[in-house]
Amino acid sequence: MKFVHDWHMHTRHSMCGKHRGTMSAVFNQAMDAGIRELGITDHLNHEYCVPLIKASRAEYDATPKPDGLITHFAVEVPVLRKFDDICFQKHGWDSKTFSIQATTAEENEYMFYLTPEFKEEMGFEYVIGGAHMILGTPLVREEMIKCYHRQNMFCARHPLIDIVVHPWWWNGPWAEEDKNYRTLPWFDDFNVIPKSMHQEFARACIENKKAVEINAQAMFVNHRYSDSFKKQYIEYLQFMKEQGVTFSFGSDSHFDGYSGNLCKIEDIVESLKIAPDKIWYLKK
Amino acid sequence: MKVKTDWHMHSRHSSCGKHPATIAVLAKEVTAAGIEDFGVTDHMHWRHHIPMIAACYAEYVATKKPFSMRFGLEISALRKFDLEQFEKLGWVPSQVLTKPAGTAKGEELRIYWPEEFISTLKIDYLIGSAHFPIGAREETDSLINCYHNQLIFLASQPKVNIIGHPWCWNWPWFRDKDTLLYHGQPWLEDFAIIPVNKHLEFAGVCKKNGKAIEINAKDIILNRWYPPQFRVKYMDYLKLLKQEGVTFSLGSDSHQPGYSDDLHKITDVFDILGLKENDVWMHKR
Repeated sequence: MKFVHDWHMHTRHSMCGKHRGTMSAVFNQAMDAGIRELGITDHLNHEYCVPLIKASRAEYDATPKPDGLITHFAVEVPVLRKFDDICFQKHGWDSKTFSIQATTAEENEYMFYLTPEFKEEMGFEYVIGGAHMILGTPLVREEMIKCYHRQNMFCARHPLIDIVVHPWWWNGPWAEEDKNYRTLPWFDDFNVIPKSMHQEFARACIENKKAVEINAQAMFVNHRYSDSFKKQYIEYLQFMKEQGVTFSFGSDSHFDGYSGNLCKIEDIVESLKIAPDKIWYLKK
Repeated sequence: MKVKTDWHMHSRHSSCGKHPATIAVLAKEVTAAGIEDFGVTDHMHWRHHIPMIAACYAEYVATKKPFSMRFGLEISALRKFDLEQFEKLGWVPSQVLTKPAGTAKGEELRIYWPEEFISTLKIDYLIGSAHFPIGAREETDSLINCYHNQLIFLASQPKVNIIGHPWCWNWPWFRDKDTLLYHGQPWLEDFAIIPVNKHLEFAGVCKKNGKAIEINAKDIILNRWYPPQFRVKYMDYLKLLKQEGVTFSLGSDSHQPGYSDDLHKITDVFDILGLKENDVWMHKR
């Protein structure tokens, strides 16, 4: 399957982006990689990202788009606790609250730092959201699985979200000395996550018309994840397909331009044999 | 002299800047360094800088910052030829800036000034700098004339407030590819090779037109790629300018992930020149 759409990529306006990842570099390199429609999705974590998002919008507007490339301006939001929001308001980015073990949170205590008003002000054409942080969860496998499932469910039910990104992506503790993940929380065996959770998540996505992302960079091109994990993750995507979910595709490029990582998962997506009507496109 | 101002620094929006240098980080670190009045001055040399400056300005406006922070730009002297070639070819400096399509005489020089875009910004001040050999031959006399013409041109521009890093040389010519040290040409080993009458002419034009001349920390006084004797001779140059009665402006030219605070490393220069806080350029709102 040759990708011509990419709905998830970052520019230099994400804190995790690269300095040379200008809009111009992203657009031109994406064109060279065969992409014909894309969405810029820089991070909006909290208030400290607002000036960066405004800079992103200004550069997006000021950058000439290559002929033959359709571009969209969108945003990626992480799930936060209301506790994180309060800490950020008090202490700013220095509070580093995402991993503070102050409190776990139920789904009704989660939030995004995004309002309908700011969405309109910035002209976000769609919104992607996902679990990015452990949000105070005790470092116990079962608790972490419940936390990430809660975050996925929160995204799947939230009216502002269009795409739930990189489900079960993990960047937290339990890396080994070589920085690879091999054991906890779900890298020794992805089947430790109950199938009932996947079913509940799939149902919520279908009911609320959310797409589930197949992510190149964070999942399949992630060198810190093992081949055996990636194999099990393909089985998970197969299961989600059987449940009837709609998929979107994202490179999650964090490159000095555009990573082209989507082309590295063409065979994987091909093997899933996803029906054309189960592939997400931005509807005008 | 206590360093209270810094009018030349770059954020992440200059292609030579560093990614973590957001406006918020700059504001925080400059203030922490004891600088009271300062401005961010990213590069706007030609068309491909417009999206970067648009982004910089949007971020500047949206950032909570001290009232004493200003928004400036650093512009460059270019030939009409250069601007036309960049419009055609995009950003290909080595294919354009050294092409001897014309000598860089003052009347042929330009600054890139897109009126429609500029009207969307509130620019507090401008630094005009000579950055490129623009058509000069790779030999000392030609380069001295070229850079002098650029300095006089910039000092004659009504929009320019500060002449940035006069006689800064950072083009790849005369540079060791391995050590990155400059060999000495065109004027780094013997700064006295530049005729004094050129300095006097430059000082006179600056005084006449109300331009400040920058004392630049990173690219001039602390430039680790220059021969050590350069700083000594450059001090004589600054003393001459002081005798001529010019106004100096202080610029770190920070290109750090945050703020370099390099001005505090060259306070001996200010002391030797006998500068006082009230002697140096200050942006007036």
